[in-house]
Amino acid sequence: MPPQSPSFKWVRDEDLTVTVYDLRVVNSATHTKASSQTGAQVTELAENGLALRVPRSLCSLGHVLSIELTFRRIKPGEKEKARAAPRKPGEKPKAPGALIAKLVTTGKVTETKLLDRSKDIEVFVRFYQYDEEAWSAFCSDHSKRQLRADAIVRKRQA
Amino acid sequence: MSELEFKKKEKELLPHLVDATFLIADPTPTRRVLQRLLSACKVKPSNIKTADTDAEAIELINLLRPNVVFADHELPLKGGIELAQHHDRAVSSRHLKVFFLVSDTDSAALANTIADENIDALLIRPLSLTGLKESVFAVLARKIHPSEYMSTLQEGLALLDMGNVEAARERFAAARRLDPGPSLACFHEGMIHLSERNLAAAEECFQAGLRSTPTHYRCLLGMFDIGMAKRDYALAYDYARRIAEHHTVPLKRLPEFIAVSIQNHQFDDVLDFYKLAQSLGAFGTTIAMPLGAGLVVAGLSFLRRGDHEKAVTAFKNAEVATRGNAEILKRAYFGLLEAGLTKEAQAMSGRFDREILDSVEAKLAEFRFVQKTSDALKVLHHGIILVRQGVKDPYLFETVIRLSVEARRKASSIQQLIDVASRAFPDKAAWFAALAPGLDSEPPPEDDDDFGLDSETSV
Repeated sequence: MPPQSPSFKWVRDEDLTVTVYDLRVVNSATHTKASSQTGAQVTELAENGLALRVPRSLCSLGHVLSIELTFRRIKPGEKEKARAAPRKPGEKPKAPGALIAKLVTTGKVTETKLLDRSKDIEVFVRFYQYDEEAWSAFCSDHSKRQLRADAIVRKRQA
Repeated sequence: MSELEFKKKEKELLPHLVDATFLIADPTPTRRVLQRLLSACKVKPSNIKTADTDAEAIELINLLRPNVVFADHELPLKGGIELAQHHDRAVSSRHLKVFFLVSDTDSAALANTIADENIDALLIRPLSLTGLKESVFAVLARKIHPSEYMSTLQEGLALLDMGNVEAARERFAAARRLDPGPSLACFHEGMIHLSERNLAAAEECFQAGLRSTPTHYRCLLGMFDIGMAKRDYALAYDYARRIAEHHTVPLKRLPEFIAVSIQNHQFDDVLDFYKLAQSLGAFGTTIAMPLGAGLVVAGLSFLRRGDHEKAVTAFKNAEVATRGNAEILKRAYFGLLEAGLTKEAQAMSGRFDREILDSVEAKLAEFRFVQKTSDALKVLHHGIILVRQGVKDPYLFETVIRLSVEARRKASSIQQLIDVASRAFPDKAAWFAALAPGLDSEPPPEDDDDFGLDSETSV
């Protein structure tokens, strides 16, 4: 029987670590809210804006949205640990994992599109008065995820 | 949204896409981003098909044999990975053949898993049009203008597809001379030898690949296969560990990894394999059943060494993996009964019908627990009740006969037990008789089938 080295692991935490994002959107005029917890999604990152999937009731063309988008790296078990951590009554659980990028900005809805068989719409939000450098750094952080995945696939298939 | 600009090398690839056919099997809004990319590449709209489910996608693959597929990892119902296997079989490697999987998940485990399925890239949501273009064109460049080495390998693979093994072998051997690090060529040549059961030649090829790149994934996997083919499970285990150390455990080979760990008595490994499959939501039948069975075997081993907590964890994981498959879980149930973990056994018992709950195995498992924890008289009492219920098991008979002799029960009662045991197992009759040497036999009274229990052993 081969000896077992104590440091050896069949499955390393970093292999199962995933990036998740948390999206919060507020309509500045109506104060209607949507978030990733309620099914809102980022569908595209563009040079000067975002495409989002949100409930139809959130906004219309021309509305201004406040957007907070956070990316976190979460190791296995961290979600459960954060949920189980002691907290004061009424206090929300702490966000799990390590923060890798955060964007807080506002933007105008420049296009809306109905999605088939869904109560949601896709909206295109163009940023205004935003920090271009911060947005570019945010997108660059995101593209590193793609590069990492590309490198893994190429190494495995080489 | 923004316009797309192409670099010079990307522009050179565009003419190759004019006549190519595309399938977008992604019902999410990602489809629109993919369509915009293809539109920017001047692909004819009639060459782009879309599908919302795997059934639609399979139909379109069979009908149109698309060169390039974009598929959602979570595609209803079976997911993008199974679709990739279908595309791989349907489209020959003589043509442009590319498969992209689109996913929200960016774990290394998933990237490795899709690489094993010959998927060309994992595209991670949310997509940006520019990032998408770069990833797609990086793959297309490799596919459309491969190096001489890669193109020779592709020729070899196409020849293999056509069944021309000798010509393929020659191409792989030629490729080995074209690159200073020809591990992939070594691997493909080795796989031909392996399929011909020429293990020595296959091993020589894989080892040559590993001399060139000591952590080469496919050559390590080739050596794992050599271990399996030789039934040298220590060798297979060694290479499985090397794979896990330098890459990740290949999900599609999980059943074999589980088998090798169990062959090497490394039962804790199975809990780790469960963690991997769970993280990827990979509980399809091909993985779930071997994984569930492995977890039950591991759990039984933990019970034997007294690690009840770990055993219960393994059994619970087996319940999740197999979605409560009674055929696999019944061994765990019997194990819990035997270990006296009645509460845990009861928690699992809802999975089973009466046939299993009232089975001989369940009764014997309880008997073995009584045997481990109670005094001889209680064991004898329990054993005789089982015999009276009609349970027939050589070990049960042996135990009750031995204990009856030790308890100095009436000779007629012991003889009656020996008779019942011998009728059930005629080939063991002499052995049962030998358990009670010098028995002063007296004929049992007619219709006395209670083995004298109540009159002698009140418990």
